[in-house]
Amino acid sequence: MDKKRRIIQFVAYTVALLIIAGLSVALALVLDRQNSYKDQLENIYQKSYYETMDSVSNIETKLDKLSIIEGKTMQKTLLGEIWRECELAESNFSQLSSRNESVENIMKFFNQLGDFCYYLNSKIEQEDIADAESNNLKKFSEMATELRNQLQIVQSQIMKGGSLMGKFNNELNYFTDAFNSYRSSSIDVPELIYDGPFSDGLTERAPKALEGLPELDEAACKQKIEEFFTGQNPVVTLNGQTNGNIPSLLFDVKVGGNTGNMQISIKGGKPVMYNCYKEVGTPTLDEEQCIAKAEEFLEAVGYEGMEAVWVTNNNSTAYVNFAYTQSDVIVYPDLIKVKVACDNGDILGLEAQNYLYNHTGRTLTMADTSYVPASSLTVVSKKLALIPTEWHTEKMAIEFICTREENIYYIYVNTDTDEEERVLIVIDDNGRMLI
Amino acid sequence: MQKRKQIEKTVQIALCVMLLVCITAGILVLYTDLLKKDEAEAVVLKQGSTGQTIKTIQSRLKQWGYYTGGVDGIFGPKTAAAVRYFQSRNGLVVDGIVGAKTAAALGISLAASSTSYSNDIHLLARCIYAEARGEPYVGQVAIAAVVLNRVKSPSFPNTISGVIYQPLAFTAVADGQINLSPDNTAIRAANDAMNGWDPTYGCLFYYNPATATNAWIRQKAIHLTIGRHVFCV
Repeated sequence: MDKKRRIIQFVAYTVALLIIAGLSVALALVLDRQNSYKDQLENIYQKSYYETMDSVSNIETKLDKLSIIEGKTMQKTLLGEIWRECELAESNFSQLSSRNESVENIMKFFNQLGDFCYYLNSKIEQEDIADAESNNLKKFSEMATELRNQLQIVQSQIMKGGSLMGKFNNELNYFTDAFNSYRSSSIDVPELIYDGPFSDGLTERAPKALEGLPELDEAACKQKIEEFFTGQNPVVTLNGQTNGNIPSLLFDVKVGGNTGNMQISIKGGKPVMYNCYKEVGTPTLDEEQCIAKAEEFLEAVGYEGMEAVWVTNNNSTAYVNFAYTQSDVIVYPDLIKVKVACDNGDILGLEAQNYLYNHTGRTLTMADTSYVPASSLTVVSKKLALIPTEWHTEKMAIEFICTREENIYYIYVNTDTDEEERVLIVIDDNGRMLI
Repeated sequence: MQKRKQIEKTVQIALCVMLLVCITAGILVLYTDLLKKDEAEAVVLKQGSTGQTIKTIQSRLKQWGYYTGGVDGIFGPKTAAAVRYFQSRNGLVVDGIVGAKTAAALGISLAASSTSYSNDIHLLARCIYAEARGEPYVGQVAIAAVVLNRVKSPSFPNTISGVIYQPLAFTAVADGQINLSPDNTAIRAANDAMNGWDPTYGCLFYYNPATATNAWIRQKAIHLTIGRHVFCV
């Protein structure tokens, strides 16, 4: 009896020991694997760090060179190179960034400097770099030096054998201090206003179409929405308010079995945005019928003089783009989009921000161009159009719609320079796209 | 004596349980890697689908004499009939839907479209699904709009993937939820945002006031509240 028990005991302890041994081995393997993952990640971080560092140094020296040279060819080359280095730096730096406000400042430094140099590069053949512009470049140069100094502190930590990777799911080591001291240093960040998408002051905009219109209260806005959907028994309830450039009220709208939301401007009671989710079934309406439905809705909500210029189709949903037309000129900045369900023609959405920001009484000067599209193209239509830039200005252009074999091209020619301003290609991929 | 026996028995049971737990844990550890292996997303084309792939399917079917309609890139009833005819002649399940097997028989690939535009929509949809599934539809569009507003802002990366994968920018990316397959709602919301819908009017941030721990984000001016999220610039 005693013996038997001892055997059992022996077996039990052996099994226990084996388990512990097995677990230890497993743990060691897991830890080993974890370390190798960690090493690989650390390597990627360090590569991004060194690449960023290289780019910042290059930016610094190139800006310095740019400040002393006179010849335009060299200036153009350097501006192009700085732009490229900024793109590289931005891409690598975005791998390192952490949950920190200073990161935004540094990102902005790369993006703005790059974009600014691109802008200077494109106009340098016509104009010299102005004093104000070289002043800004000088400030950028100081910022680059400061940034390099701070990043170098990180390098000295790495040299001491430090690892960039912080605790799991946490910020990278060393960078927070570097970012913060960069931000608190006394460098003077220039306010940069120029013709480019990253120019300062683009986010604060006043909606031109609402200028001088009276303010409406909640009840009046609600009534407006009910009028938009007359005959469809809409149920409209207030959901909240939207602040920003176009102060609006947000309503829940139940209409025809769909539930959506509409934002309506307090000033003037114009619909800014309407959106509604619906599983759209098999399409029964063609493009023309969808456009007709969209036009009907636009009229009902009070947007007039609009012409359908483009339709994309996605998941049986047509996105119809309307532009304002003034004496046969297509005014592309005044754009409104309407979303139509292709199964039963339900209106699923409206987007009118571009229109509200840009629409205003304009005096258009008619123009023509001596430009002739490439001989391989067949011109389908030629029209005057006003086109928007990424920095919210407008340009007069001639729109050529051309085809070559199966491809369709939209070419916009600047009427001042008679040169291509923009070229778009129709990509037919699960709904047509203009790219 | 009785007591000791009992203790021994308990120890034995405990050991057995431990052993079982260890074995299961071991199996789990070994197999999670294998199980996780790419669950390829099922793309199916059926009546109502449009696009370049449909054109390819139509021209194949036409070439082989199954289809007589036009090659217009729209999966209509005629195309469906041709697909059914093709399936019945090739020993496939006759359902008029082009799934993986039918596509293989047709010699085409249904892998997610190769243009960067569609890839961006898909990535955006995954981000929406990970960050805001269960939120009202307008709230899901708003999340996608914030991503696109960041792309346009100088203070953030300039591509959709750059913004989404910026370290620690989105919690659902950090914890891997980004790899879940998005639902239809998220895909539609992504499409809306890509087409210009932005209920936030240019916001660059959002957070859940109930869980946000970051102090500086709370100082930002709030533009609107949708569902559990507040949006700010």
